[in-house]
Amino acid sequence: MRHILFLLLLIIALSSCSTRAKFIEHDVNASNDTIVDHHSYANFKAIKTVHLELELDVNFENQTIYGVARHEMVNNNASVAIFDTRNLLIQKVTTGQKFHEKEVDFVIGQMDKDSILGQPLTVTVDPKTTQVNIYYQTTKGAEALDWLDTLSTSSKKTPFLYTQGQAILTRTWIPLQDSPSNRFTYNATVKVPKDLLALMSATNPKEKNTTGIYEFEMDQPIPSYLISLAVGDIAYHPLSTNTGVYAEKELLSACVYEFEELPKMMTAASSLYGSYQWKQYDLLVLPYSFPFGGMENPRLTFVNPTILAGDRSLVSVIAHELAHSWSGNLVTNSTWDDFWLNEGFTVYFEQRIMEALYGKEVADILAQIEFQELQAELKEILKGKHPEDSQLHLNLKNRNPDDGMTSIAYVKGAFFLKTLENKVGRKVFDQFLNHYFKVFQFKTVNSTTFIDEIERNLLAPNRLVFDYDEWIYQNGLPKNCVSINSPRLMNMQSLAKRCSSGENIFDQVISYEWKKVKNRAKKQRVKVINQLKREDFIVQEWQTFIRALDQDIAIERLRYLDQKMNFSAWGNSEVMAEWFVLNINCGNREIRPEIEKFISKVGRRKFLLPIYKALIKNPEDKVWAKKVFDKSKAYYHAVSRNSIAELFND
Amino acid sequence: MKVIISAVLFMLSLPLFCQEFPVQWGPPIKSSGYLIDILPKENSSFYTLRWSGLLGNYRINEHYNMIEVNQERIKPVIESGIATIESTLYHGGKLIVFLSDKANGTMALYSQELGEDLLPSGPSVLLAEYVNANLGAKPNFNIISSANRRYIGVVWQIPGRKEVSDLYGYVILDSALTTTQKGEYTLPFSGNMSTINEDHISNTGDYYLILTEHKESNTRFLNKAYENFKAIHIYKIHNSDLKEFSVDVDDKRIDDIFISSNDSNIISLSGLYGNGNYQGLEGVFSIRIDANKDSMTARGLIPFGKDILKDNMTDRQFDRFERRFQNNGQSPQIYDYKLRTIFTLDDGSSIGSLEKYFIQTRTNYDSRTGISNTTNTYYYNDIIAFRIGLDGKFVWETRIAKQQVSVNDGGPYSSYQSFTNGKDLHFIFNDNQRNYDELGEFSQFDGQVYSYNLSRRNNAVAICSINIETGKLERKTLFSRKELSSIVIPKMMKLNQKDKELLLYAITRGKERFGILSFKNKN
Repeated sequence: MRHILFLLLLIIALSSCSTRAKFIEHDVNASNDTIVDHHSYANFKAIKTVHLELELDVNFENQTIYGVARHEMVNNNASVAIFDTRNLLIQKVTTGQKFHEKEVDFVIGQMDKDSILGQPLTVTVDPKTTQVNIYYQTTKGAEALDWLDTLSTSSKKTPFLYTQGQAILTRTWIPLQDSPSNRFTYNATVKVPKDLLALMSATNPKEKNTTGIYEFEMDQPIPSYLISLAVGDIAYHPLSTNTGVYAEKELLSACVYEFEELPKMMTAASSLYGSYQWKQYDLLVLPYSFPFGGMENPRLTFVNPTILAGDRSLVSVIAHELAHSWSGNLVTNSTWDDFWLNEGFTVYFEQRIMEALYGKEVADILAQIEFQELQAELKEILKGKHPEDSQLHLNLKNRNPDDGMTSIAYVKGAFFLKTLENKVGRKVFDQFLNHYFKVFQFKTVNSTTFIDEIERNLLAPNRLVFDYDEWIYQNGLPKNCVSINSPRLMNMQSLAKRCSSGENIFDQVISYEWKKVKNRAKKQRVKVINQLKREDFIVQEWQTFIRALDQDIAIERLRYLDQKMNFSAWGNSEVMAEWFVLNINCGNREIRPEIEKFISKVGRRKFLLPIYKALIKNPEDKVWAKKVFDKSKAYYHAVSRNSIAELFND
Repeated sequence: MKVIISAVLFMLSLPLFCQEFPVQWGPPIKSSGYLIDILPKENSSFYTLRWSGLLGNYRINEHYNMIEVNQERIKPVIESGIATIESTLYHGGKLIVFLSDKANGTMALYSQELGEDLLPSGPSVLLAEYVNANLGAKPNFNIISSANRRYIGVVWQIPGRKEVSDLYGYVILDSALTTTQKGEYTLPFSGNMSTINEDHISNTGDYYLILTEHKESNTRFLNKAYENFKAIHIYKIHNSDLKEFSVDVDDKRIDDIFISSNDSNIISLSGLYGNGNYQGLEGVFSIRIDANKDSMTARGLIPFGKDILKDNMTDRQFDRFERRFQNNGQSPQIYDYKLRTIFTLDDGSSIGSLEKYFIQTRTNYDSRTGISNTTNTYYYNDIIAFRIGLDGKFVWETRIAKQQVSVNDGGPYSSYQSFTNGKDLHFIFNDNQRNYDELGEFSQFDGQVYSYNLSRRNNAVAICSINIETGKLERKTLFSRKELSSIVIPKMMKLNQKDKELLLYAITRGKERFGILSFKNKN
């Protein structure tokens, strides 16, 4: 009997061990009612869009989109509906279903002082109004729209248009409630020139049709900044049943090679944090002016062609954008003050995907590289006008939300999660994250919600104490931050030191070894030529090498390095950007033609900003940089253009 | 000599300083003809256009410090012969007479500059012409000016194309009478389905046309079809390109459309709206356009508040009145109001006023003699003033009680003149001295307002000032008939917004006198 009892207890104990951790359920919508978004005029608590129907006519001749935005709304007795607009021309506003519409009163309010938020469009509605239709057209001031002429595309034959809505630019091409805290579904009918294909962050066509009219549907609620559109002479190539790549024909084969491992990434990501929820995952490779490495528009990630390195060395960008399908797109920051909840999670998740695919060593190298960038930026922020920007939770009231798009949100956020993981253990942490993505899917979160959730379902059940406040609400980097060491990167740093001190590390080193040679009984003395080669190291190692070189290294040494490694014409934008910054800092002006070529071609802000920042430090370089900027700025996207213009204005 | 005489006369002129504004009156002088228009010049000088003589001819008179210093007959002559005087303007430092002519089916408009001696100073210059070969066709030019007097526009219409779209043309001229833009255009509506409401030139020289689209062919001549209203279209026309702003008001009707603009190129268009099937008015219709961006920034049907709708009714009467409308599913309405002025302020908001105006006609028929006798009584009563804020709502709306009744004369001394210095909105009108106490403050006895009186003892000229920010109203006498010895004619006063002056006009026993009220010094 005692044995039976013991057996029974053992079975119970084992079964309780094998079940997944229990999480405390609670009302996850409750916190949304108190959200105040400083970057939106919309009164979405009184009346909110639940579905948006777009009718768009894309006119390349006058670079204008003529549109109707039909908002299906849930109305809690509101007498006005307020929408965000910026530089839009509103033609009229109606209420009621299509073909039964009635024009109603509207007022476009004053532009805010710094022209960041734009103008509120206040529409008079009655408490029963559930449909508001806004007829409008875009203007030259639509910063979300990048109209590229034929010469700026790979084909040089057809023009291209793409949109970039994050953070608050969607209001420059669609009048809407432009806050990440309001999610809605949308569908669209888009008319484009017949020789071009239109794509959106929705169900997408695989090829052009003869009418030039395309229908789109996104039946899962998304925040407004994820509505996107691209129009161009684009072709498609599937990579698996639910993944593929769109690009201009000229780039397609290179894209297919570069992104071949996308399905594997998808499998790795799904196995980590739950199944992929967005049905299809495609990439669209944009022209070079795209200001970001990638933009996680659901079902259709926009990527910058600079990641086509030819050796798949920069696919971590894809891992990052794919990770956004969970963090950011599935669970979204409520306001831009908590941008770290989008990006910190995504960088953490990206590193996990890279680890699953390429091993811990590679993942650690990536993490270390990002950490180096964080340290550099942190130094600048703490010395700057807003040292409080080094906190994870920001207060961006009366400021541009783009000010929060720094390494703090991305890397400090990721290292916060890494530290937390280190504290609770990976298994427990993964269970918690699975729970987090499940409970908050298609919802929005803020720092308070997140703290509440880790307290309730991570720390308390495991009887752990963790000072998350110093991570989220205090400046700088807490002392308990996990440290990552990479022997390979340390090796690169020591190589850099040797090189800085004058050693010609890339010269041939001839040595003799005793080796067994075929058909010879005795070992023979063999001449061995050793020479460091590019392919001996991965891109991130080379980045570390350049960063570790003395910042005042002699120009002759730079010349020597370029002669040996040809950094100036590598083709890998990450390395080239690092190399150019070092040369500018060291006063090497011989390299200006290469720099000009690079910054006139690439529009990615990540590369442009450090180069321009380095250039404006020296008055003579600044004059030259201004000339190049003036020549190239028409080609840059507004996001990059504005950031660089600010540098010159300071 | 002329200057000396004018200086002596000026010494005799009557300086009357009302509480806030310096008012300078000239001496009474014999009128040299029926006054048609006052043309502001600069520095207290102006021209007057008159009709005089037994056979009738146009005269132009020059006034310096309110004294007439020169006058001359306008000869309607162009190089090809006799022409017709269309209008006169003081524009770009020159006095210009616009003359029209018809030759071989071509209608032409000429400008004739007059020199300091008020005689033609050179040959007439052709400004615009169009062809209308219809028999009996006459030149159909309209000359308009921007508020800042920097631009003038010549607009013409070719009538008789009612079956298809009407054809219009325009020329915009700058201060040197150089053409800045011109064009001919066809409106996208058939002529009998639309009515042109107003032409406007903004302070930046852009031409606007406001047109009402009807639901059905506008065939009634004798009475107004209130329900026949579909939409308002505003066209910004630039070298024949039409930029359209359309407003569909569905079941509403819009009357009395006014347009104004400010130096920042904000265009305000206002009208009175009511239910399409009835004559009454429910509120003010307002559109604001940012012409810099070609963007309509506000569109609103702004209903009057209860205080305005009460229209002198008691609370009980008003409740009954309101119920009656509500039973019919309508909003309460007021009747017989006309929109008189709209000013666009620097911040883009607008202020305006309405006046209750109606004519009562009574016919007495004597059955013994078979003679019928018709009496027309002209009522110019309360003023409603309002400010429309940037949010498209009334910031304030206020009623100024006024009664002006006259018989069989069209009410020449009735109505009012209004102006603004950006801080206050002012109204000047003839009133009854009994509405004011001995200090000149407005004082209503038993809630009654006495009808205006033109007698020497009881006539007073009132000035009402409304603070634009708060809507607070102050009403005082500006001067009495005794002080002035003449009756002011508000309808003939001329607002010179550019120099912030109001040119006043008064008459007495065959004589007339001019005055200047300056509002530029008030901060």
